Amino acid sequence: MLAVAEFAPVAILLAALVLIAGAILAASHLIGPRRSGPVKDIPYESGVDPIGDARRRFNVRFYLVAVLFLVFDVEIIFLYPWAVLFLKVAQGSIADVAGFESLGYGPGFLAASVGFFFFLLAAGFVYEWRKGVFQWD
Amino acid sequence: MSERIRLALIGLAVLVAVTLMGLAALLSSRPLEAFAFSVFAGALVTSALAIVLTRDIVRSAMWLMGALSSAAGLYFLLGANFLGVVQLIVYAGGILVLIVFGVMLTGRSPFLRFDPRPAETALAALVGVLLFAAFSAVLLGSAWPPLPGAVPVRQAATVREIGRALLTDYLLPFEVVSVLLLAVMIGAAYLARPVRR
Amino acid sequence: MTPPLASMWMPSGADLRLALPELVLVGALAALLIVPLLGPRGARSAGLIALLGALTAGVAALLAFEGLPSGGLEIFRASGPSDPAAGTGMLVADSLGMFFRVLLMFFLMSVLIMWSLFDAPAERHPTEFLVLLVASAIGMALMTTTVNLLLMIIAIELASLPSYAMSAFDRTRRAAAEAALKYAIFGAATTGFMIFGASILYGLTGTLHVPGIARVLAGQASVPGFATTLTALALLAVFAGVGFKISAVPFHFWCPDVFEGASLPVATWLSVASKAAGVVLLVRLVSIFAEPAAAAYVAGVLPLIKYGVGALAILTCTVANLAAYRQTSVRRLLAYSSIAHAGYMLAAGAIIFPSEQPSAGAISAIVAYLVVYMFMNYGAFMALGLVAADRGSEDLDAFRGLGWRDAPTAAALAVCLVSLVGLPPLGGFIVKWWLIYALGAAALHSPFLWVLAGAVVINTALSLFYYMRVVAAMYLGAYEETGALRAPLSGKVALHLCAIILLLTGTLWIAPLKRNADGVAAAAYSPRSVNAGAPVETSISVAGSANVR
Repeated sequence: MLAVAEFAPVAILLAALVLIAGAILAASHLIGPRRSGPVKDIPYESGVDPIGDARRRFNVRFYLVAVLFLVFDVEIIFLYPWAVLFLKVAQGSIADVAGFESLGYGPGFLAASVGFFFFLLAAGFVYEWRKGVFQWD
Repeated sequence: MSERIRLALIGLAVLVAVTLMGLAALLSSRPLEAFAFSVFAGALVTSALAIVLTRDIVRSAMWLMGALSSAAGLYFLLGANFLGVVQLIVYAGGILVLIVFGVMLTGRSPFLRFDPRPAETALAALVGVLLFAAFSAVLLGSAWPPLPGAVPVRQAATVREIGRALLTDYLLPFEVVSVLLLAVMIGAAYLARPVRR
Repeated sequence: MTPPLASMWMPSGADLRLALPELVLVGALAALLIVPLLGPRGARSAGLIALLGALTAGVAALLAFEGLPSGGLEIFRASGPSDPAAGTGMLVADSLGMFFRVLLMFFLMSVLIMWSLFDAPAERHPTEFLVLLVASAIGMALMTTTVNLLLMIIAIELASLPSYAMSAFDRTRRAAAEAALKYAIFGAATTGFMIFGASILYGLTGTLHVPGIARVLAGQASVPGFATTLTALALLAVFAGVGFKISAVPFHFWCPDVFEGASLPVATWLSVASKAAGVVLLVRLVSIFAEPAAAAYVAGVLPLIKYGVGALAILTCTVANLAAYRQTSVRRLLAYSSIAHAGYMLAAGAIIFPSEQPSAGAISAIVAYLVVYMFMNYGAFMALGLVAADRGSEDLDAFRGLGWRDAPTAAALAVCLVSLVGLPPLGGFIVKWWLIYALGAAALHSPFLWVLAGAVVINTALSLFYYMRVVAAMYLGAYEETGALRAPLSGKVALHLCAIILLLTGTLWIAPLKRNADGVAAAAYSPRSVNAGAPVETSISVAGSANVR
């Protein structure tokens, strides 16, 4: 189990944050003056008059962007632990990772193992790129 | 006026719940952990209920963010920091955006609502209650320390340890995942592309 | 200072040779993506790359049969510093897995031929389609050879996700999109259940290695009742995922819709490959859990698997056969027929219990069934495609008078359908007879299995009627005179080859089929012979102290 004492300051900060934010919101709702009119009820968009409804239909291309973002997001997550390990191994400071060196895992191995991973994805990426999937037109 | 009362009531209820959680936590041997657990678990259950009870799909999605983030909090509490971060980045960050986009793309009316028929509600509730009963009966009845003879499981892996496991013992699944991600990328990019006729 | 390039751990050459079929397919995947960038685009070159990849992978699998030890061996063994269960493999290389890969690659080539006949000419995105097809083939090949829960889930996902996309591949048809959505949601739900079950198993036993899980379970001296329930729940959840792949009955709703919405080659691919992979995976799981059957613990769970799988099999074939009656679309009829056949194969899964009856009998029956099923189903779908190409309809009415208009095609289709029923003198009869025989032999020890054998026989009789509706439409009743089918010759040739092979397996080739199936079954993976003396036993003394928080 994790050492909770370390997180005590974080917990106190969070609690204070929630309390102060809640108190401010509640106070402004309770004691703030209320004047409403047609101009006041317009949604605030940085001082510019809003155009149309907020919930209008989006272009389908946004969805493609979101999907591709998600795919690459997941890829990066797989690379993250590798990167953390690679740094340590490349610096030669893997004494804390017991038995690692003796088994023959060097930077070369790490590069090769992720090289395969990356090669396939890069092939797919380049294919999609050349096909024009990332183009907005 | 009624809005103020409702607001005050919600605030009061939250305050009472948190105080009760704090008091209950004081009784346990690890008060801070118990308190944090009850806050995250309470938030998870509340937002999960809200997802189901809200009829507005966009609000449902927003509550889903609450549920996913509370689950991430539970992961952090268990020491699974990497998993917690992944949960926040992929689920609360990515998948939620995808869901909201899906609503924005397909909504025929600006205020898309989800109104199931009573029969559907009853069926879903029945299935949910049955599953809940089965799982809780089994889980409550089980002693959680693993069976004698089980291989010891390591606790609270750091990111580096995860990296090491991923690149040694689980190297093959790691590489297979790249094939999976490739197929997903190609398939998703094909399906999400606008159709040109 | 810097260690050499993974001198000790890197998968050995022998491991890579045994995994060569998958590696070749991954290479084909990369080639599919890279070649269009260099020059030749279009369906023809892409199809050729995929065909070549499948052929090479199939030959590699065939060659890998040589030198496989009886009982198989585990490859990609963990020896990393972090693994407490060092020495456990990710994959097994055994006769069953290799046999399945050969079968899968052959079938992949057949489906590619079907695709080049019906879909390729109008296909504007051949690369995407073939990448998905090959990726799902890799997933299926891995499904049948993995003994690690994590890799098993990834393999099932790798087989499923491209299948969802393939069933929605025709973007202009709403039915395809709807079917794919149904398929994907069902798939996501069952995957969720399966991961839930796998995590419980991992929590109970501390290992993801399936034989290791079975060994820990078998090593329990006393049987706490609640832990049995928990294990049963976990196994049930894992089996739900497999049941989805083979469309066993509570998880079958996606199947007819997907078959109807997807293009014909995709439906053919899913009807055989995905079900076969699921069946082989199920066989492997059951045979691993049945292995240490003497132990009290597994004995508590084992009847549940046995009766559970048996009941599922009865339910699957009965429901599918009854539902097939109402269909007027031949495509949907064949979809229900494929569910029913999955049920028959599932029945054999209920008798893989070495304590009573050598499991080789059941595995041999499944192996032979898969071979013959592949040909009869491919033939039926090919005939459907030929008729649809000519008449523009897949309804029963499109088959009216086919027997007089195009006698050879109708005869070949009739052979496939009669074989699907399981009547002599065709391959379908022989393999069903072996299946029933294996059930009967096991039933001598366990009377419940008579019910199972009876259900298979009754269902065969039931299925006779709806298959015969197609045959009757071809030969009986009025029709308009339109002459022979205007359909590609190579399609007709493939159909006739299927019919000839079905005739041969039902007559002259009975003995070779039986011999080869028995050979595959006898040498199939057995954790007992592979893991004798694996170091898991030593960790038992550690376990108690290590888990104290």
